[in-house]
Amino acid sequence: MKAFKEDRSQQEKIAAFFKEETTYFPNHVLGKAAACILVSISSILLIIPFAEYENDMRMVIVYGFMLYAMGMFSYGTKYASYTEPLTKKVFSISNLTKYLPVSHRQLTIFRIKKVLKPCVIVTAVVVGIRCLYSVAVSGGVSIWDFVLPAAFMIVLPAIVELTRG
Amino acid sequence: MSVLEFKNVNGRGRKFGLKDVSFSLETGFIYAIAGENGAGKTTLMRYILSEKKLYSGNIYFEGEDIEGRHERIMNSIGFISEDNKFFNERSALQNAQLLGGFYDSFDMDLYKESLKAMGVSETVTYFKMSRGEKIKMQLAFAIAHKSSLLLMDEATAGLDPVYRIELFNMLRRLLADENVTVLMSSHNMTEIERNTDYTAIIEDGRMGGFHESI
Repeated sequence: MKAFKEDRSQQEKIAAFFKEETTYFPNHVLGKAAACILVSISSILLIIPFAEYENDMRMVIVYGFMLYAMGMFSYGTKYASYTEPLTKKVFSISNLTKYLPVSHRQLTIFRIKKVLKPCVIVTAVVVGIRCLYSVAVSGGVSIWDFVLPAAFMIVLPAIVELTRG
Repeated sequence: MSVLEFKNVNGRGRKFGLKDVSFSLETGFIYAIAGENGAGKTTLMRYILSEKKLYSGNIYFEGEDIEGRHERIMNSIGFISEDNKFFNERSALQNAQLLGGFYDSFDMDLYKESLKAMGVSETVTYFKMSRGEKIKMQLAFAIAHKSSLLLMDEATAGLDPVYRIELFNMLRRLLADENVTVLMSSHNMTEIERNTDYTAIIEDGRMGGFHESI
């Protein structure tokens, strides 16, 4: 767990950088919009309770998780890369900061924290609606109604951000 | 205490690496590593600058092993190279406003003063700067965060003679005023012998000791 130890001073510097950076690069609007659309569609697909899954339904769930992962990836892009306004060339923030006094690990922790916040909120909403739906349809809640969303809607985006350059 | 010390440093893995390199640098001098392209000059700098440990052996900066201390040592090291990254479409001033915040002590007034002294406009966009201006801007950036070690990787390559003389004059003034050490690499032997204090030759990852430049 030492690898995930947060350095408060560096986290503050990274947060200040991204706050300042948006004043020069307000071009992540599309990324955010894509994230909102994808996550909204996937959330609708993912509220179906586990008891209702049938063969055809399983594919819908897979698509739902895929769209969700793409949406969250899109949201995290703001903290992983930037686009030069004129040439539209995309550069990695890790590459930009590699000779600066900031650790790649701390950048990753910062990005995971930023992405996990909406993940937890969306997951809580989806799980809540799933449970209500499940009670209404089958009179009970399955353990999978919690495990599946937690695994795919929180752990998966965290792993994606962890492995991102 | 030496500023920088390499102790039996060897490259790791299959990639090209240094072979049993040991040396130490004292404050207040310009050290140069000369060698042909692919001899290991940039690799040596990368070992110091990289967050990952790419070598076996030990590298000490101001008496402490650099392993696991990337962010701390980068506060005191200024890297000047074409490979250094800045926002291309932002001015010298905007780059400092965005990136200077990562340093514990970045002196914006000193940065502006240094740019002015070097004749670089603070409003000019980075990609519109000539190579010489980029090197000067990077030097001003390194001065502003009070570097005690300047690593210059082929920083003088492609500069016209007037710029080169100016750059070395600036470095000499800096060395006289501050506790700074310069480690530069170049494949131009004549330039090195004329303008630096100590020189070492690197060839195929092996490096001899530093000797006084002529």
